[in-house]
Amino acid sequence: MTLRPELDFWHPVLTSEELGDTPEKVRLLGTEVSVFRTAKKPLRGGGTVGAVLDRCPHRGASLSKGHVREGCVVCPYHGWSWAPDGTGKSPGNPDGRFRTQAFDALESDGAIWIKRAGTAVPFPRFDVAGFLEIARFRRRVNAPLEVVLDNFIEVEHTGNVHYVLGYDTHRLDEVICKVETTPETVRVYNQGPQKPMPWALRKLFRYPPNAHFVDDWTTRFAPVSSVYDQYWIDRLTGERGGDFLRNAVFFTPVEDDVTDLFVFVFAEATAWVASASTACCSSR
Amino acid sequence: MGRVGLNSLLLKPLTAWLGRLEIEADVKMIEGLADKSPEIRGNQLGRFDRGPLASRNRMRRIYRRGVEGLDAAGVELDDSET
Ligand code: FES
Repeated sequence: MTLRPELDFWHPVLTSEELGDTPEKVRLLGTEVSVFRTAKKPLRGGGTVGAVLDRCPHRGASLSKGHVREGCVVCPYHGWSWAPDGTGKSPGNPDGRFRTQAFDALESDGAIWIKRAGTAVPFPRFDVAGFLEIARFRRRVNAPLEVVLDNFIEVEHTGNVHYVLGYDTHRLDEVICKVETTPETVRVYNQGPQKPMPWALRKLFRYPPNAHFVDDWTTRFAPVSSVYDQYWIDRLTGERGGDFLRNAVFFTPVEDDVTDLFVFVFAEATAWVASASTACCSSR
Repeated sequence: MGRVGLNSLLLKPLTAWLGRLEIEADVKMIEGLADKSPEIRGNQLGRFDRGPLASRNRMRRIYRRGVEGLDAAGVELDDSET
């Protein structure tokens, strides 16, 4: 089977919460893959996972409808089992040598990631040292990758479309928008008048009156992802005031016209705030 | 200034809620577009579209392994100035 070149890169395909102890079917660039935990799901992340083509090479059953035994996914039809390295065993053909398409798979940062087996590409780390994890979630969008990405790498829409985070529609002409490129990255720095925000949220984010909102992101393409720094500055002094958010968004193409967003939200926080927030709402 | 009292307790749930709210608003707008073709040739673009334009070229070259500067129909995308 010919896999698309984009599959060379690590893609998040599920959040850690979405993968229990039974296999799950995911689609990545139109390819259906069965993803499974090779050992019981740990209480917190960092488990071991495997991924093979969802179609059983024997007679086409969906492996994601099977179960996991001894680290292998077992086909629900005739009971052949498939290891994370793609080797297969058939109870009725003990001397047979069988193989399926396997994928590299791992669990990291609260998500399950896969790529074509054996490609030498770095894992797409994002630096959140000193930040508190606020949320992470997957959201499916019925639109092509390019169209979805376009929305997330310009701020002109934030005045009309966003509720809170963004720029005042009537003052968009004041927004500075600087683009810096390297062969591998596109950085966009935006700074301008924060759109009106309800009092309670202003208090939450603690930003000064007449603040300018800064939305500064860098987009990378192996895989497609953007990391956003969002904060406020005093428009006269240029000094930072209020909170600092760092968000990473990965854009995973499910099909040519369907894209999954994987959103990781972080806020700068001292350790005691982190423990207070975690104690208050331990959603993980 | 340190974060105190209710503010520290509300930081996580409120910011999480807000993040989802903004994403939902984006998704609603994207899914409701009259034209969801990835083709941008012929669109009228403004200064905020320089980032997307530069990103298209890199996505094609690095991620899709195509040719930089050419859109799907083979027309060059100039991201040098908008
Ligand atoms: S179809 Fe999977 S074992 Fe027969």
